[in-house]
Amino acid sequence: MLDPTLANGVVTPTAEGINWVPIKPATNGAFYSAIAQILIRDNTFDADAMAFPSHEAALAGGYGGHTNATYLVITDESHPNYRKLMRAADAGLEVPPADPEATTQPTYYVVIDAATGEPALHTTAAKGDLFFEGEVNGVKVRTGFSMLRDSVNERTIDEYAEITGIPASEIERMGKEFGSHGHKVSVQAAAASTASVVGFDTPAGRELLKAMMGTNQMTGGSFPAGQAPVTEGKGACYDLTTIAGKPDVSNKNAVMISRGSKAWEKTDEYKSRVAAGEKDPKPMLPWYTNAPQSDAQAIMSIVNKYPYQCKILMTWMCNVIQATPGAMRDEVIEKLKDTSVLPLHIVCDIVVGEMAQYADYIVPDVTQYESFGLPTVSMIGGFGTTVRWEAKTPETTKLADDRYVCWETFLIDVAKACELPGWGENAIPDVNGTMHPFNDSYDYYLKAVANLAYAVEPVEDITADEAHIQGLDELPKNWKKAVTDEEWPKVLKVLSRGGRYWGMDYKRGADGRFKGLKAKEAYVYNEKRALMTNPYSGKRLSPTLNYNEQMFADLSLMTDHYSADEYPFLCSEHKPKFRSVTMLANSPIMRDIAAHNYIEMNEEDAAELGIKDGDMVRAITPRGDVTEGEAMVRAGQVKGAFAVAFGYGHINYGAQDVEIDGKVTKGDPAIAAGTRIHMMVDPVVAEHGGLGIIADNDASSPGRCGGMFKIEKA
Amino acid sequence: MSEKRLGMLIDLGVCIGCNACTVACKQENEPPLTKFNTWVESWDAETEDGRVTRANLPKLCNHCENPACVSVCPTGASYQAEDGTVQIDQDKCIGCKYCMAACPYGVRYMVEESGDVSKCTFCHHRTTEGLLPACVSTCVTTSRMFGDLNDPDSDISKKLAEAGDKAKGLMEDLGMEPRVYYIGLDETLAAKPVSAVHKGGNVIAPYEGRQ
Repeated sequence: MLDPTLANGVVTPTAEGINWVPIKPATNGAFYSAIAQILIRDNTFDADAMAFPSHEAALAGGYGGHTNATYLVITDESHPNYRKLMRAADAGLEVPPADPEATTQPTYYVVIDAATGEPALHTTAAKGDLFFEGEVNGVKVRTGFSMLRDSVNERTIDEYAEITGIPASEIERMGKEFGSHGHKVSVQAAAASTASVVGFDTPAGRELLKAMMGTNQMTGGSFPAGQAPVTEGKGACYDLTTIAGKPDVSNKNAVMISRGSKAWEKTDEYKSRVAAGEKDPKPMLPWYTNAPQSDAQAIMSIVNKYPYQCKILMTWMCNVIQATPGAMRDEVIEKLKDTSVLPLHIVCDIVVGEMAQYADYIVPDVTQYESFGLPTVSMIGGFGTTVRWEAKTPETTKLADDRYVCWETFLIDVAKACELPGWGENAIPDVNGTMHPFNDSYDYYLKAVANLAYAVEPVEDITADEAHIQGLDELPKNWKKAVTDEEWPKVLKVLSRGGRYWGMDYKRGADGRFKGLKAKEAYVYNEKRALMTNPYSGKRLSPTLNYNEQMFADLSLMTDHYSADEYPFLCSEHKPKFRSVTMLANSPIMRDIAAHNYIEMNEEDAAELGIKDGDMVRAITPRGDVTEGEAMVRAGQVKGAFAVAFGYGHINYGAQDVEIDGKVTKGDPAIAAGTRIHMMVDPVVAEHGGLGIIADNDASSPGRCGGMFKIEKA
Repeated sequence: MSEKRLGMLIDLGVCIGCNACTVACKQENEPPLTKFNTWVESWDAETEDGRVTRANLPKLCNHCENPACVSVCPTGASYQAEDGTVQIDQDKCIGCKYCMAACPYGVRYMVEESGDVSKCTFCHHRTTEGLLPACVSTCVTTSRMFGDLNDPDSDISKKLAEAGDKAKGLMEDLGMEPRVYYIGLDETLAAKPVSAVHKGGNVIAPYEGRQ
């Protein structure tokens, strides 16, 4: 278990076969590169698995995944398709005739067929040559794998050890072990301590290592988790996803406010500024060519009124400013309060947290015990879904039509008032095309439960006795009307069991593979990244895995702006045990168990700074942001970084005094106890007139971990 | 000796220190704020091979076979019930705190409002109705196991038999014969503490550095 911070968990003095290996935040790319280097150096990676150029080839070879490791990359800088994967046309290869029925035609890439040594379409070769470097059709090319070999060898194991804080001997031990179990190995990596401005290196490295050992979709390897029958989509009984007449809004005709999935040079703003005679214009906030949606970037767009003004903001059960490192600061809060910046802000929540504090309207929501949900837990290996259902009567206001005030009720009524399709009468089609109404949350969720009840093999009806024992014969009448009389006893059966799960045999094939095999390609060469240019500097990031130092928005190194000698510390955040991300500080029990969090520091770092366990300390960024809290001096924290559990350090949420109509309600300072990381904003974005968080230049997600800090006694 | 003897077995190898037991107990038994019938102590612990681990040690009344708290009680308020557990008759308790001083495990506390002493009952009100103690029924890793130690076919007896010498009670040398057993207690206590000791998330013993 590699983590900057030793959490409570399975690494105990008595647990066998699991070790905690401290790693510095924001250095995962170095660790993965080191392991890949060892696998290549020792030739312990699975060369067969890496050489399958297509899903069909992998299947024929007994595997579940393929890679683009053998695809040729055009390395001739003067070629119009420089940095792209070579296409059939570039190589002068013929392609099969187009399928006139198909809406999209396949792309044909080029490999050197391992059997013939000749260029071939990736669809025709059983295996490609991993190492080819040369010319094809007069064009200089090399394989993605050969480029990977170079990029993971940019540094030595000793250098990776220095960067990550992991001893070289330990890296070697892990590299050897990872390469010694065939495909029965895997990597799990996600969540807080991997999120940094170079956070993309984490999924990139994780997927590479999984592919290098041929583990994808293999039993005992990287077996797919989190599958479930369709419940909230086109299910066995109802179609809960198709909406006739739904407005056509997508990335093709609209721009997401978080500036993702759009290259700066493709924006209307860029084009119009160039047309107006501006040379090489730069945006106020960064654009992210390949990023998905981001709430953190959206909130920064809103306060900057860029790329467009947000007229209405609706948030449900989230506290974006507290959850976005660096966003909970006066400059942001002032903008959220300013109706000329944000005219209408509606929050639906069960508590009034920092986000709701600045909203114009607060719609009360119900708790998890008072509402429905069919979450498919991604970490569970089986097949199935849990059903969470309204186990107690909601505490919110009951409306005249017996519905309770909550998020769904609010959405339904607003949508109906706006005459949006998919709500009210004739909203939800069943499998026969008959339309059903959508007037309350039962109309939706109990249909999803019906989909689950009839999935694969329908469940049996609940017996009258069992329904009675569980009180299911006393449910309100507006539940039963959501499904048919035939479906109702099966819906109750699923509710009585809290969901439905199938055994692992449902997913494990006798051939050692996932029964539901789907094409699973691992990128060794990331063409999308290869073609992405930075909006400020025009620089590019490596298309194959390597280690990237922390960068600002123009890809300049943080250490080019600020002194690493003066600000030597990194930080990381981790999930709290006794709070949620933004809630539970209002719970007296939780506060009783843990009054506050800590600034967790390595014992050697603390000794060097003269800091003792329990001292108040400050972590300060080069831009003057101050994180102050009580030091927890421990061996279970990596040297060179401090850690903070999030969910503490509230400024609102009942911590503050509130004055309404002249009446002051005193806050409870215990709710504010503890600290949160005050991350610096991006100085490069500031130069362009924007207020922006430090962020991952690929995914646009916040630089939650890493940064630059000095630590001193408070 | 009564027919039934209730006891608990905690496998420290799978206790992840999540404190779900602490929360479940708080909700079930409603001890006053700052008081706990059960809790988890956690600290960084360096093992012999130099690796740092996180030790978790759940604590609660040990429902001893030979309880000092019962022998010192001047009124008979503290007593052993038929199922072997140690209980307090609040009607007889005069709040003299002798039992608190006598208990080496520090599991008893004074309820300021009533002047009575209280502690873990092994959820007597639940076990007499055939339910498990709240902490056991909520344990996400089934680290906590509960049952009749006198019944060789009970899950806990089988697991204890399997564990042999590995299952131990806290401070057994005091001779009170605790009936809360831990698997992995020796390894946990042998590892060198290298952080403060936390009770839940609060420090109960600050870290003084490597001694």
